[in-house]
Amino acid sequence: MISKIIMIFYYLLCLFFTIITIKNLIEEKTSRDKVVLYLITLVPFIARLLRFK
Amino acid sequence: MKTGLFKFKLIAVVVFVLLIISGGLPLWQHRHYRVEVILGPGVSEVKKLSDFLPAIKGSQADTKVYILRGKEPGGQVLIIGNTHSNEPEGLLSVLIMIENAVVEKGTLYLIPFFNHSGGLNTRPGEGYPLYFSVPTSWGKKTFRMGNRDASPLDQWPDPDVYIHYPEKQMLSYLDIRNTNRTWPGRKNGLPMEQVTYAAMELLRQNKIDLAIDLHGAETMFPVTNCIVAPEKCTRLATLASLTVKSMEGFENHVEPSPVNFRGLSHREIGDYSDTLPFLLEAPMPFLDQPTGPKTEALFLTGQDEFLLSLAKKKKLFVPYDQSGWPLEKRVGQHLSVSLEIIRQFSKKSPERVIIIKNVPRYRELLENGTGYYFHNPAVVDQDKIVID
Repeated sequence: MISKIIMIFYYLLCLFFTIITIKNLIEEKTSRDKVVLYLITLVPFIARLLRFK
Repeated sequence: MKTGLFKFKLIAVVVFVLLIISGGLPLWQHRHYRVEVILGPGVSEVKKLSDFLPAIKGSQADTKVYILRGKEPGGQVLIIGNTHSNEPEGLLSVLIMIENAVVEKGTLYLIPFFNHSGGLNTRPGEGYPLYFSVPTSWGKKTFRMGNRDASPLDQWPDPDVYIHYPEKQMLSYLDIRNTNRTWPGRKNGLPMEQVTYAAMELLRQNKIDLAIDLHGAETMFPVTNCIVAPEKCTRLATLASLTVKSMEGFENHVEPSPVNFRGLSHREIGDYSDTLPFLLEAPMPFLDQPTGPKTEALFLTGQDEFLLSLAKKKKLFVPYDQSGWPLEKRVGQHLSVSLEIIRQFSKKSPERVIIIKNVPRYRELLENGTGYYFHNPAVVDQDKIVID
């Protein structure tokens, strides 16, 4: 039971980091490097949220 | 500048989405690919592990248990494959039994996908193929190539250190998802502990006499090409080993089950139930580290030039030549040794005899190949097909 609760929190954490990274991506006005960095950072979170890996 | 960055962002996002789709879709398809299991003439009933522990019902930890009952009562045996889903010779051996075996006396319990979640897991980081196919007379039968451990999608997060229950031995964090480190399991534990607990309940409730766990092992690992057995099973294992060597012409030595290494089926089943446990290791070159690419061909043939070079330097624990260590040899060994353990047990315990017919042995596998024993799902009754 406790492992399920931890798992749910983990998914919520993934969702939180996905949202703030997308927010930062949208608000980025100057740096191409940061755009690439945000997109690379998103990969593990998206892969987990979509349950690919 | 702002318009330039907007265009760059747009292109980068499109590339990102395409990469996510092209990389993620094959993994998603693998997780949702199902194998058709044909119920042979001997299958009496299909249960699930959750019948022995309802807590895992509806989860990917649950798996099917195929039961083959004989016309006459007798002893009982459990055989499991895919404890490690990257060692599928066990899976194939169990599926051959499901499709072909007929039990005359006693009962045979078969679990082909023991770590069901591990079978849905992948190992792309080491370049493992997602699938492998076994050639048959009617085409190819395709299976998922799984991973050693359960998928993190089904059990996560891992602890920093895995403390085995109930022996309290500290093991690698990863082994909490390894169903050959979580025996005898825990009723309220993590999913893989529950899988082994449910299997222990299956063994205890049905008073099963023998449990045989089928694996593959590296040729460079000393515990390979062998029967691992605890003290109480050594005599049976030795008799089986000597018999297959003299009658069928292949080596399969006996390794003692270490007393101080916890969580393994060959140790905990024996310590926590009356069942006699055995773990069979077939040499599997695909698992060795210093090989060429991890291809389907390497899995099927076991042929690798780097291992051949190491064999010449006597670095392997099994004889190895250009013929490699093909799948039919590995599956044939598992089938012959399993049947021999059962036969030796039956000779020793006349009141618990188990007689199984129609299961091919080593020589037949070498002659006919593995695929010969799988039936074409297109020509069998639909009610004889189980999706697993």
